[in-house]
Amino acid sequence: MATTDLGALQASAQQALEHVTSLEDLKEWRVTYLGRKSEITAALRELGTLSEDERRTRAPEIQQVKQQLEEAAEQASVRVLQQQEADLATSERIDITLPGLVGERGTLHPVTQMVHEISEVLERMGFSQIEGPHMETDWRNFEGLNFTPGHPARDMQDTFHLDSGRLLRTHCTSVTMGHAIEKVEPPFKVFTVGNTYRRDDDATHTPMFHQFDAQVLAKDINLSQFKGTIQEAMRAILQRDDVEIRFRQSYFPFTEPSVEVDVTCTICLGTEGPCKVCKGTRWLEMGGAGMTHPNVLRNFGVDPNEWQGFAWGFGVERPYMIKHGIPDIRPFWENDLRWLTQF
Amino acid sequence: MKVSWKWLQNYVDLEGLTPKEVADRMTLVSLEEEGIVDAGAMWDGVIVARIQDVQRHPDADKLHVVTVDIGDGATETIVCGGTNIEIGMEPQNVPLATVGTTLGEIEIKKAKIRGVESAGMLCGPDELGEPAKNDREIWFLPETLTPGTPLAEALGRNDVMIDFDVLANRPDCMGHEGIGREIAAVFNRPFVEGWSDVFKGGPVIADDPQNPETPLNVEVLGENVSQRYVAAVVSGVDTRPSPDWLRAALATVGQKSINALVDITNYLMLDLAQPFHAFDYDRIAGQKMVVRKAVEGDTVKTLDGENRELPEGAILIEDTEGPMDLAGIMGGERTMIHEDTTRIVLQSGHFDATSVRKASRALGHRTDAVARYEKGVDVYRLDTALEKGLGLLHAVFPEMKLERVVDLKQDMPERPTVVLTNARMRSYLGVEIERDTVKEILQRLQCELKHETPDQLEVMPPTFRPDLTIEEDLIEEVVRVYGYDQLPFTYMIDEAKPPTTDPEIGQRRKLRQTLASLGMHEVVNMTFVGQNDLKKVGIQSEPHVQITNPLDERQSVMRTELLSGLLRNVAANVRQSDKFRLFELGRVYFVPKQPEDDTDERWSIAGVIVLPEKSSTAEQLYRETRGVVERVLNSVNVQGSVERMQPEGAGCAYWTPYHPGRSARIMTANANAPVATISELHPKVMRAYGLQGVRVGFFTMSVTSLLEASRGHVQYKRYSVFPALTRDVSVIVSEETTVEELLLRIQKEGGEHLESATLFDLFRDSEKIGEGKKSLAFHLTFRSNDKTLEDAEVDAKLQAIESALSASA
Repeated sequence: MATTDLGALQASAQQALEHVTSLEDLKEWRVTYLGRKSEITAALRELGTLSEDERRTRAPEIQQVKQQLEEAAEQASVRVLQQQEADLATSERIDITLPGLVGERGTLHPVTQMVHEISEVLERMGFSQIEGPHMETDWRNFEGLNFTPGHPARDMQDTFHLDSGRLLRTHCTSVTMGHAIEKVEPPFKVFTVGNTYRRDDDATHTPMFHQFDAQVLAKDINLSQFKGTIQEAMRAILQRDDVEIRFRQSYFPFTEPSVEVDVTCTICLGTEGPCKVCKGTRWLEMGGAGMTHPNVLRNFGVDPNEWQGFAWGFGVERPYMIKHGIPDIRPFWENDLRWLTQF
Repeated sequence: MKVSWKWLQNYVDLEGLTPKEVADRMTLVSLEEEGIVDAGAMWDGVIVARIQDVQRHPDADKLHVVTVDIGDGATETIVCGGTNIEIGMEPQNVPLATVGTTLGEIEIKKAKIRGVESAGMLCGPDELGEPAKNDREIWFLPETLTPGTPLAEALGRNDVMIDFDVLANRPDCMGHEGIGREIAAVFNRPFVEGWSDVFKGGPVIADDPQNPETPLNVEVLGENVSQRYVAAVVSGVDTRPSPDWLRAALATVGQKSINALVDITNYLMLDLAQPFHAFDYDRIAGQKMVVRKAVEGDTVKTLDGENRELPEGAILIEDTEGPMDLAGIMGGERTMIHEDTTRIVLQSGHFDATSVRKASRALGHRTDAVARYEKGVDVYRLDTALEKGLGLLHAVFPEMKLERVVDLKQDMPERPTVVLTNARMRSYLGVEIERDTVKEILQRLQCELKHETPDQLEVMPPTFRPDLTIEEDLIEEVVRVYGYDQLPFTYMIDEAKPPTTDPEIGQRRKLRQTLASLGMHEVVNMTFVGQNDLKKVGIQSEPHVQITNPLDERQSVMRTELLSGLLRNVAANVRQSDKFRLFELGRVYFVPKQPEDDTDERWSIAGVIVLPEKSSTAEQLYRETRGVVERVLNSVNVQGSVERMQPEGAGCAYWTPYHPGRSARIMTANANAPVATISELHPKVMRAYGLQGVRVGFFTMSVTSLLEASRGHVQYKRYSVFPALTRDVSVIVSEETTVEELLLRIQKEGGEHLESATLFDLFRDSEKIGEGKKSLAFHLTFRSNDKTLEDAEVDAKLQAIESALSASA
């Protein structure tokens, strides 16, 4: 005796399903209509009490209703999810002007940033980075670099002397010429970046500052190659491929010919009118350069008839100041967080 | 070196060139321009006016109404406040800035001043960029000027000054003649050997009369004193004012006119790059001049009135009364030109460059003469220079008479010839410059061609170019005049080995980045400190490398540690913030074992962590500091164990910044020395730096020990694919019990499957858990490599751990 009206059951289940608006509702609906205590389960259980014939007709009917309800539930679940997702823009809206949450950020000192950039560029160009002492001998800082004891150029670089008998190097040329020629087998391309010291303290000078120096020593290296090389290096370091370089005649005891290298002023490049940074000259001085003086090669043990080199020594702070519009070198060593954390 | 555009034209025809064009080219080729002043342009619109009448201003006590003659019979009425303008004054020539003139930032306009119309402004010297005695006075011009004439023209100042920076190896360019010669060479114009009209007509040295009435006995004693000493005795001179042209020339280059004799010596120096000095002949005792090196005790009273004790080795000239001249630097007061001077010794000497430079530095006294002598003067041309001097004297004193010439030559320098090969020049420049061009450039530079083959040139540089001694010097001469801008941009074909940068350099880069990623701001401090820093940071009497000539006591020793710099930075920043982290990675310097040939420089790292005192605890400070250190060690694969520093001197004899109860060091298995130290700053150091309201923790590491302790590349370990079971355990213990003790117990009982045990809570509450107690809670993770763990086996371990822990409670 079949007690469950399958048609009525299906109709009420379908109706209830239409009111389902969430996955929770759907879960409840499943319990009610398909669960262990549901009418359909009861109907299936009843089958056992039926005769063989009744069972044979009744069973497929129940299975069909169950399957249809399962399918309807599946569709309802799709409908519910679609409804919910269509509504996310309002239902799950957050305030996107809330500030970001990050751990306190640290910073690298501007000199370090510049040193890293310079090193990357020069290494990419095939230069090996070398290092030397800050406390240098008179020989590698001056005499070996062709500064004779009474040389007037020694006055250009007022020097800190140490009780150890050494001095604080006044340029990194002591490394790229002195140490490099002594220790590295030519041909070579080397550079160094580091502290330099001069006995100077005024508005535009501090007793300690940084330089990057390089030397290429090879059989037939020449000034035209230096022009091309330094132009590409400065473009990469200043991250401007429109800068140009020019040479200006200069004098250093350790190079012959000697030049100053200028780059086009990136501050006023392509603009009109007066520029405070280059004072209207359109050029900015980067530092000294030239062909390594034969006496220097001889002094450090290389035959100048066999090898020749070009070399340069530029400031590290200056390109950074140009890039970031920093007017004054003194804050580099004051380490005020209001300054440091800007970069 | 300031040069006058007009003056230069004694030597080179500048027709068709502007000062700017010349300056721009010379900047690239040899002489960098550092400024151009066009007095003519600056004074454009300023004319000479003659005061005719002065009336009281009806409405202002300090103003006058002045009628001036402005030439051609015209007059203007000007309101003037000059303090030297008076009713009834003598007619005076004054500068008038006419309407429309711009002086600096001021534009002169027709205006009513207190009701009276004024058609311009009478100017004081300062308003025209000239030195002034009193700033409210009008400039009274020479009587001879014609009203209406532009001022610059009237004063012979329609001239342009160019300031050139002269390179240290170019003594020849310390005068107009040399710069004129250089410009002539660069612009390929003829150089006029300097016998312009002003030098003509004087006596010639060849006619030396050796007048017995005017004896002069000169002696040069010793080596490296004077290679050649040239001088002339001249009579018939006096201290009359200089002629206008001479005053104007000196004024253009910023030199004050004194009297004709002094002005002439200045002019000669600025012209010929050869310092001259005029002695009063009648004041030279015994008519004897001995040139010698100073010995201890020698003093000279120089013409500036200073009584100078001479350093040994300075060059002096003495007469029979003693030293009377500081040769090469400054004349002496006793024998200088006086009002009544009529006879002089005009000196055109050489003095040893190094001796002059050293003496000048020792005395702290630099003069224009020093700037020339220290670079070296042309000994071959001292006589022709003197002859030009005589010519100039004659131009100013037509009645002058040459009485005697002295020319003492010692060892004259050799004149080398230099060979320039085609091959070397091509190899150096990367391009071939045509032979004819090379020859022409060298000849324009007055190098004398001695010998020529297809492969090379042999030339003798001129005597005024002692800097040209080797082939490369000549290459430079050719290329600079030829133009560096003519060289192409080419690139290197690499013969050199690919870069082999020292791995430590890369490691330091990485360490810096790691530290910055931990919220630390990198600082860079000067690498020298003062004795006071050493005291403040608690450094005992360890020797330091000393700077023998520091700029400042505060920068007198090389640092042996980074902490004192960081603490200075903390003290400076703590005014703005009470929570920040700083680090420095840099070199520290020690006294080398072999002073002459060695240096001891080591890379070090130090960091400071600053927390506000009120809202933090000492434990938090320690843990944050230790956290940074652990992350750094981890980044270079260093494993170490922490150990308490011994309280006596906190375990370090060298210095005592460590807090005796709150300092630790990290030891590694393979090193005796700690790889890092972690500490709170000792209260006495806090006090020394005036730090209040904050806690300061610091750490130090040696880069070398750090990298030595590194176990290299991390090696792969198979990870477990099975899930973890986690449990928490807490215990209340007395304050003395350490986390390490508890962890040891946990590990002992936890068995092989205890993967990790981490402290996650530390809690004190005297009411709830009792005085002197703390509650610690650990998070435990169990995992097996080869199976999924059952709750039961983990719970058994947990029980064992709990009972072991409660035993320590």
